[in-house]
Amino acid sequence: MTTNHNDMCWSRRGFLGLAGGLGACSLLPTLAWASGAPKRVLVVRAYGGWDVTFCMDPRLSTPGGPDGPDVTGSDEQVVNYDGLPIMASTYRPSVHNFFQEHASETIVVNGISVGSIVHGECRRRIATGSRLDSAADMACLAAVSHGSSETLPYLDLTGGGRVGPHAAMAGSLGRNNQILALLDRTLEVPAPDGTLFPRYTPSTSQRDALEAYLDQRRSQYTDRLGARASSSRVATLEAAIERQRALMESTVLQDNLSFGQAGTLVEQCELAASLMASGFCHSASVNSGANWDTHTDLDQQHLLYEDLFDGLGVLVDTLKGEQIWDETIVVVISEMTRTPLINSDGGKDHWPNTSALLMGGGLDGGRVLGGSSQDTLDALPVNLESGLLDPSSDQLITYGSFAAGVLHAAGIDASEYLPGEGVLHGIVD
Amino acid sequence: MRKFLFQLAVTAGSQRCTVLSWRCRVRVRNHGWLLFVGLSLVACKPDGSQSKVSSAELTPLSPEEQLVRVSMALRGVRPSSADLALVQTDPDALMSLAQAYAESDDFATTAEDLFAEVLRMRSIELQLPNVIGDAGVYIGSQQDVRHALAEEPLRIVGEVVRQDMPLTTLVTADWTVLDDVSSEIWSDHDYDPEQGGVQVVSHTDGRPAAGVLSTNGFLLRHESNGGNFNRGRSSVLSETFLCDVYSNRDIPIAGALTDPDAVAAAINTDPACVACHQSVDPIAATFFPLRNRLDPNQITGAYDRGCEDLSRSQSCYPVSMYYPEYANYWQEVDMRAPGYFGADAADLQDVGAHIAQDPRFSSCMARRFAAYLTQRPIEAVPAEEVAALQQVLLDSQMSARALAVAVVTNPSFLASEVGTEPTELQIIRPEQLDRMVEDLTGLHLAVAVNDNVGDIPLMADDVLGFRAMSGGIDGASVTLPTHQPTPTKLLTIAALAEEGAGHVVDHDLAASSGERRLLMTVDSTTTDEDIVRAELVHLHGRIFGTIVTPNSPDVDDALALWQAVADADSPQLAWKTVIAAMLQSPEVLFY
Repeated sequence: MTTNHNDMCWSRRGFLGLAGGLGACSLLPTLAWASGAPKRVLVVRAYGGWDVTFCMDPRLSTPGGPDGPDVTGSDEQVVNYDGLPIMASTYRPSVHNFFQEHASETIVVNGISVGSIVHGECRRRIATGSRLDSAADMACLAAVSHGSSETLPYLDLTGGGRVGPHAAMAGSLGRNNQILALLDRTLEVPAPDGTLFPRYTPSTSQRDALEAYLDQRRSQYTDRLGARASSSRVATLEAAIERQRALMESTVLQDNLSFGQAGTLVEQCELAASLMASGFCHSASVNSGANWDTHTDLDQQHLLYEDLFDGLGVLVDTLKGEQIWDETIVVVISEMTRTPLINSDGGKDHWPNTSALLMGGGLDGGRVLGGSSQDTLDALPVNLESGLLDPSSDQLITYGSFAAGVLHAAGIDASEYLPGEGVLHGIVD
Repeated sequence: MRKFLFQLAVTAGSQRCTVLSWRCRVRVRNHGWLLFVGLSLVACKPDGSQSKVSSAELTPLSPEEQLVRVSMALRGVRPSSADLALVQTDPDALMSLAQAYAESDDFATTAEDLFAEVLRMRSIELQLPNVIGDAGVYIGSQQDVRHALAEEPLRIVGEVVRQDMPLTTLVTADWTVLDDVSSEIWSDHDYDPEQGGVQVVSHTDGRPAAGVLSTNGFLLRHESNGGNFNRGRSSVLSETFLCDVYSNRDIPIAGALTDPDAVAAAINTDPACVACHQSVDPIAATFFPLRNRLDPNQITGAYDRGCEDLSRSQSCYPVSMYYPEYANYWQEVDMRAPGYFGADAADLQDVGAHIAQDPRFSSCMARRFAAYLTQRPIEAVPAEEVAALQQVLLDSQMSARALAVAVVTNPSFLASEVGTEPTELQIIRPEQLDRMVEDLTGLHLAVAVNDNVGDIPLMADDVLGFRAMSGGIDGASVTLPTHQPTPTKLLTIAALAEEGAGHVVDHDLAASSGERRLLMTVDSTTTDEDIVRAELVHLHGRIFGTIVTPNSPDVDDALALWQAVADADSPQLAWKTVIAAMLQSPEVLFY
C-alpha cells in the first residue's frame, strides 16, 4: 500500500519499542471548539464486539494461546494518519482509504470502560450511557432535543435502537423495509388462503371522514379519562398520531426504499444521510448488519472492518454531498472489544472495554482520546476535560462519560439525561 | 365461585390501617374448592394524620371497563356481549368471569407470550436449514422451522397452564411438546408421525428431566459459545425462574485476566469474581451433557459429507442434543462441581427440583405474572404485592390461573385512581392485537410468500412482519417491549383495522345470521336508521366494551361517519369505514 508524505510507517520493532500506552500518540494539540450548537447524531452500530487491535487501538503482536496462531500477519503495520495510529493491512484497504481521506476529521476514543462482557448489557450501556432499561440512546436524544419538526425525528433503520420514553418520536422501517406495506395500502399481497390483500383501503374521502371521527373520538376519550389522560402513554398519543399521519402523507420512504431490501451498511448509510438531509428525520441509527462476535474465527474481523469502513466512506461522502456533514456527528460504536489473547479455538472472547470513532459535526479530528494498556487492553485513566491520558487521574472514560460527551458535543445538556455522569469534554472542548 | 370484597379499618397501636381484601373460591384441579384471601395493605397512618392512600380514595373503573381490562389482560380479546351485559347487571360477576377467562385457551396463549418475552424464544435469529437441496431434505418452510424451534419450550408453558398443572412443572417436566417439523429436526423422542400435529412426547435419550430447561429449543436459543461454559444458560435460568439477575452486574475483568488459566484462578479466588461464579458455575456445570451450540453450517456441512465420517460437531437431521459422556466435562475446564446455591445437584434434573422448592421461584413467578399482565417493569412491582401474590400461588398449589386472577382482580388494577394518583392505562400488545382482530373479524393477518419461506404471520414476525414495529420484541436486538404509542404501531393498527374491517364486512354480509361475527342484523342494502343505530350499539359493545343507547352521542358520531360514506359510496363501504375506525380508536389501543 502507498502512504502519503505525512504518514509515518511503524515497523513492528519500532512500535514495540515505544513506552507506555497509546496516549503518547496523541501529540497533536487539542483545539478548543465551542460546543452548544445543536447537532444531529448518526450512530453506526457494529455489534458483537469488534477487536480494536485490528484498527483503532492497534497492537502488532497479538499473543496466541498455548497453540494459538498470530492472526495479525506480517503485512500489518501501524500507520499514523494525521495523528491517528491505525492498524493498516492489505486485507483491509477500505480502512486505509478511509483514514487517508478522513483522519483529520475523525476522533478515536480508546479505553472506554463498559464494565461487562454480556452483549445485551454492554449494548445498552454503550448506546445510552446508562444501565437503565428506560434510557434512550444518543441518536434518539439528539432527535428529541433538536428535531421536533421532522416527519420521524429518530429513525432506527434496522431495529435495536433504544427510545426510552420517547417512542412517539421514533420509528423503525423493518428488516425488509416492510413499513412500505403499511404506507402503501394498495400493495397487493397474497394471503395463505389464496385471496389477496388489501381487503379494504379507504378512499381519500373515506379516510378523511375516518380521521375526523378518530380525532373527535380521541378528544372525547381523553376528556373522559380526566387525570388519567396525563399518563405517559396517553399523553404521547397525540405526538405519535401526528407522526403517523405525516408518514402517511409523505412519499419520501416510497421514493427511496424497495420492499424486501434489507439494506447493506452502504445502503443504510446512503438512505440515512438522504433522509436526514430531506428533513424526514433528524437523527438516525444504522447497523453494520454483521456479527462481530468472533469467538472461533478471528480472521473474520478483517472482512468486518473492510465492510465497515467501506460503508463509513460512503456515509461521509453522502453526508458531505447532502451538505449536512458539519451538522451531523457520526458515532461508530461496538459494545465491547475482544480479549488481548487468542483463545484455543483461534478466536477471541469478550473484553469489558471498547473504542469508538467520532467524526463530522465540525469536530476537530486527528486526535486520540483515552487509551488502553499495552498488553492487557485495560482502560487507562484520563483527564475528562481534555480526554488525554493522565496517570495521576482516578477517572476512566466510562460508557456514561462517553455518551455524556457525545450529548454535550451535540449541544445537549447531558445532565438532563445522564445525571451525575462525568462528561468527556475532550470531544469538543 | 363467589367474590366477597370488603375493607377493614384496623387499629394497631397508634397506627390506623386500612386493609382492602378480596376473597374468592378457586377450583383447584383434584383438590376441590379452595378459599383464599388476598390482602392489600393500603395505608397505615398515625391517628389523625392525613392518609396517603385510603380505601375511600380508590376510584374503581366501571364494571364494563374492569371487564375489558381483565379480558384483555388475561386473554387478549374483548369480552363478549353476553359477558358485558352480565357485569352491567351484576358487577360481582367479574370474579367468576375472570376465573373462566383464566381457564380458557387464550390465557394459555397469554402465558406462552409471557415466557416468549422473558426467554426471548421467538427470536428473529433462531433458524436451522429447512432445505438441503442436494440431499433432497425438506423439513418444512423457513417459517415452519422457526416456529417449531421457538415454540417447543413455550408449548410446555401452554400445556401446564391449560391443564392447570403446578407452575413448578416448568422446571420439572419429564416431557416436551413437539410438532411434525420439530419431530424431524430433533432425535430421541417418541413422537408418533402417524398421528402428526402437536404432541406431548418424552425424550428417549435419558436426558435429565427439567421441563423447559432441557428442551432442545431452549438449548438452541441460549447456546453456549467458546469459553462461556454454559454460564449464559445458568444466567438465563436464574433470571427467568428466580429473578436473580447476573447479566447486569459489573464484571471486573482487567489486567492479568487475559488468559484462561488466570481467569480460572480468579473465578475461584478473586472475591469480585467469586461473588457470582460460586453460584453461576455449579448450575452451569449441569448443562454440559447437553449440546452447547448448533450452527446451521454444522448441519449443511454434514450433508456435504453425505452424513458419513462426520466431525464431532456435525450432524444430519435428526439432531441429537444429549451427550451424557460430557457430563463431567466441567472437570476438564476447572469449573466447580454441579450444584445449586450450595446444595447438592448431580444434574439439571436436580437443579429443576431445587428450583421448584426454592421460595424465590414462587416469588419470581408472582413478580413476572404481575409485571407482564399489568405492563409494569418487573422491578416496579411492589414487594408487598409480590408477597401477597406469592401466597396466592402457594395456596393454590402453584396454579398460574389463580395467580393471574389475583393479579387482574387486584383493586388497584381495577381502579382509575389510587389515592390521588391516576392509574396508568394498558396499551394493546401486538400479540393481543392479532388475537383480538381475529376474534372479532375472523382475519388472521398472514401473507403467503412461497413454499420455501412459508406463510408469515405478520404480527408474530419481524423479518417481514410488524411485531417489533408495533411494540413487541424480536428476541434479538429488541428485547424489551415498548408500551407506548409509536408512529409505526399506529400504522400497523390502522392497516390491521382496515384489513379486518374489509374481511369481516365482506364475510358477514354474505353469511347467514348464524355464521356472522360482527354485523348481526344489517345486510348490504340496509339504510334504515333505527337498524343501523342498533347495529352500531352492538359494535360499541363488541369492539369498545361500552354499553350505549341507540340515541347516545357515541352512536350519533358513528352514524354520521356511516352516513357520510353510505351516501357517497355504499352501505357496505360505510360499514367497512366505521369498523376500521372503531378498531383503531383509543378504546382499542388502550384498556
